[in-house]
Amino acid sequence: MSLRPLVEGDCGAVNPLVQLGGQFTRDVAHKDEGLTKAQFERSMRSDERLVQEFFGQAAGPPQSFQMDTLLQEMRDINISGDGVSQQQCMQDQVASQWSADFTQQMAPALPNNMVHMQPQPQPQLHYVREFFDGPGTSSRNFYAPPMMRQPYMAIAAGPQQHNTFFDTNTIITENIPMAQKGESVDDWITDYQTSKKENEQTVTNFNEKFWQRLQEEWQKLAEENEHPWLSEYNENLDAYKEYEFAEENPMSELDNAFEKGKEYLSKGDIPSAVLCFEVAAKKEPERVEVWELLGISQAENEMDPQSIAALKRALELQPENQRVLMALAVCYTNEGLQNNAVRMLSNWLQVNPRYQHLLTAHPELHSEQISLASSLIGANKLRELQQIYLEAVRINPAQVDPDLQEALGVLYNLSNEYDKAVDCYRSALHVDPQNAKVWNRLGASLANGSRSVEAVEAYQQALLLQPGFIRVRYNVGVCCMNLKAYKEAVEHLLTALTMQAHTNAARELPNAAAATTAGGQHQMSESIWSTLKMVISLMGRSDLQGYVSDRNLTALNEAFKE
Amino acid sequence: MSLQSDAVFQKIIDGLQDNQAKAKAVNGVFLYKITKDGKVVKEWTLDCKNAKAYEGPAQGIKVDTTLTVSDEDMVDIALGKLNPQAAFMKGKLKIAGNIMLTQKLAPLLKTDAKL
Repeated sequence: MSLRPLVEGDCGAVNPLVQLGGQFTRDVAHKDEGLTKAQFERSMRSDERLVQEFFGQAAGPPQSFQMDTLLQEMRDINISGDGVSQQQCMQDQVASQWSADFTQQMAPALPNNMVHMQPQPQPQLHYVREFFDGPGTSSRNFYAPPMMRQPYMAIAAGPQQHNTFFDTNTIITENIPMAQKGESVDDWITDYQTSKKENEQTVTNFNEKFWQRLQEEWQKLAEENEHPWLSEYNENLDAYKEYEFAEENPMSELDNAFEKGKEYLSKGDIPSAVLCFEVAAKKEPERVEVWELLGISQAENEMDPQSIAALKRALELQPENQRVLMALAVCYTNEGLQNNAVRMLSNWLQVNPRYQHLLTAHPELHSEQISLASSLIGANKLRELQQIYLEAVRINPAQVDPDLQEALGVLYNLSNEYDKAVDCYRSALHVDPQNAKVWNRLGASLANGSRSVEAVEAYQQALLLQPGFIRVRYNVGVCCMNLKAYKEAVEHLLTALTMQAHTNAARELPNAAAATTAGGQHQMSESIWSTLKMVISLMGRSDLQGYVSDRNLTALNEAFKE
Repeated sequence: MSLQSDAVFQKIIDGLQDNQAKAKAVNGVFLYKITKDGKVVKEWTLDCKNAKAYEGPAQGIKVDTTLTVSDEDMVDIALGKLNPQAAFMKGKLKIAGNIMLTQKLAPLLKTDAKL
């Protein structure tokens, strides 16, 4: 094409025609002024189309053209800058080469067999660089790069230029006299030798310190005893160690406290019975029955921590007491101490002459290791124990052993299989329908298995049989709360608290007025109070929270009277 | 701003104080973000490592698990009406961090009936 040389530039140089074309096609504002694009095209004649074609051809290059200029500019920058940067690069390379050579020479002397020394050569390298950088900078002045010098000479006047040239020359010769150089090398070698010794010193120091610190750390760990598995084990064993007696017991002068306590228990007045048993336990601390009945009463009194303490004491005195083992297993279950509950139930099986042979096949279950096992292993033990209990049930399927069913029910509660637990308690009740405790356990299993409505029926049975069963009152309260019947929940919880606070025993005694406040405070369960607190705040009655924290039962009874 | 779930957390605080050993057995730090109408309105920290709980973000301790749940659902979980696992599956309960630790939380939240 004849147009080609017009459009294409010479060897990538700027082509003025292309530049013009680019400018014209890109001038959008000018083209669109007053006309839309369609009108412009319609009014175009054939010659104009030719022009358009030409411009269309020309419209292509502008972008590449622009790139060209950019590239050109970059090249220009490179060319002007190159001389300097190349020179610098070379010098830097030489310097690093020198220092590298030098360190290589010195390297065998470095104690590279020591791991802790690895970061140490760094300052020496630095020193090497400093040393070579010194003369390096001055030599850069001396061998001034031609590219640098040319513009400088162009600007500077003649004599001045000579002066500066001479000056730099003398500076260099002054800077590196040979003698000084040798001296500094000697200095450096001695410096290095001393620093090497220092380094060795610091390494040994560091090692000593490190081991010392490690030892201290281990000692600290051992002292703190922070391992969760260890603390879990210890705490579970040590919890509820001591039984706390009521500070002021109105029964303290009673002579036949134990008999009186049993009398109250048969009447269903649990809080009074507890007070009597406490007196008896103080008088006869070696008598198993006292501790046993105290523990069982405290459980019915919704005081699990106290119950566990009393039952543990009973177990110390008589390790093969089946009733105590069962009661303790239940308490541990309520308190969420799975491992302890499993241990109690395996002991229960062991002391039971009818079933103990079953355990011989599983020696690991009745060994002391159970208490040491973590909660994970505990889950396996629980499964195994459930299997053994099921075997025990199968020995005589025709005749149901209610105690065995009760124990199995506890085990299913532990594994959160509430429906199975319900079945166990139902079959136990089939044999012994007058047992309020089992009715309560049935109710609790139902409630925990989210069958609150059925649970209420079971609780009703329990209360019919034993109206003073504090724990059932509490359970009914929890059940009502879970059903969001807050008002009823409060009523039941307040009833339970009132029963605990105003014991019949205290009322029958002459010094009752003084005793009820102090003794009553201790007799009330924390668990009932905290549940009451929750119900009241769920009701939105924050105005009553003060009474709860003050343990002001009369005011609360007054508020919910209507 | 008072929420329904405040009662639940108040109970947890009481429970932690009453039974420190039980709390420490959980051995985790939980941050609850309570939402109302889709917005986080309150935060509670359950520091079971030190057996304490308080309103607001964790103070000077690393949070193991963050749980986000609405005010109403929190109450339902505590009352046993809503199973935490089911709530998690339905997306009502969002858990970030160590999910296994939350399994240990149930006894602290729920008020169980006693055998």
